[in-house]
Amino acid sequence: MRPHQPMEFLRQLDLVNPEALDLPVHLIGCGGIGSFTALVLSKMGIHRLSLYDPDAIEDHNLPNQLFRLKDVGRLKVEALREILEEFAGTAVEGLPITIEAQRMTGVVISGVDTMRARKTIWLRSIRYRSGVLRYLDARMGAEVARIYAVNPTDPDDIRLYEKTLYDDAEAEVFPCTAAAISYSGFAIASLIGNLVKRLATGEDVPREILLDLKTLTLLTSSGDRS
Amino acid sequence: MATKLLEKERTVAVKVVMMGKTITTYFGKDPLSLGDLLAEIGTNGNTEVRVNGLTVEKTHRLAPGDMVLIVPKIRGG
Repeated sequence: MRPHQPMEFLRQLDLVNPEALDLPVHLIGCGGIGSFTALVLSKMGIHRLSLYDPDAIEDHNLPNQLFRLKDVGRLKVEALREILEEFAGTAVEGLPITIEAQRMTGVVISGVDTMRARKTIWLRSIRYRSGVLRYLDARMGAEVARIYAVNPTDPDDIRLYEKTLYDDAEAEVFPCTAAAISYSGFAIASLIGNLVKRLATGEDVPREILLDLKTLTLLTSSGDRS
Repeated sequence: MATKLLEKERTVAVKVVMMGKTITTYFGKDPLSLGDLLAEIGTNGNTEVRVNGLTVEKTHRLAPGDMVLIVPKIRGG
């Protein structure tokens, strides 16, 4: 067996300098979005990664989350830490907690599963926090995704983002047999990885990404300023 | 007279993407507003709309080739 070696990033050196990825990234929610996102980020070379999720892995999580059959019953953050260590040699921080009011810096990614949690995170940990470079809020429903990239101190960003904070009661309810599928999570994770790379390299970052794998539609927008 | 006849028959074709469902081309009589289109195709309150990526008023007049996205309010993670 080959001894453990740190990953080298030869194949992506001209896409993103590994030093540019030396920034803190906080990932809230390690389920259908977060588990795949953690893998993408680790494989890219993000090594200052913190994971937050209080939940344990259940049988019904296995088809659409990164976890292994043997992980059922374990905390998501613990299993994910182990997986990332195996796949990328990344030692990440994992806390089995619900984020409400927490001081965070760098890039903060939300992949939580209720609008109530999104509102709490936004209001108590993100809005007006100058230390947060960008807040990435990803939402998934079956084959559809909405991803928002928000500068928490930019008034236009704040106004546009807060328009999207609808109540849970307004959100579409999918049948439990048509709620999630693995490739949606992988696709969202890829887009989030791309956004993090854009932030790290100073490239333009769209405010909104809409993805539909049913109709194969991808739309990026910087939103209206009305 | 001929001009009037042509105006009468003028239609606007827009691409309507109902995210998670279908893509169709909708042909409507010009002038066609976003509100007209939404009433015609019937949308529920669980959606938002973008025209060429932007949020616009329902009175917005649609142009040929516009892409109207019906965006569901989703919350999963």
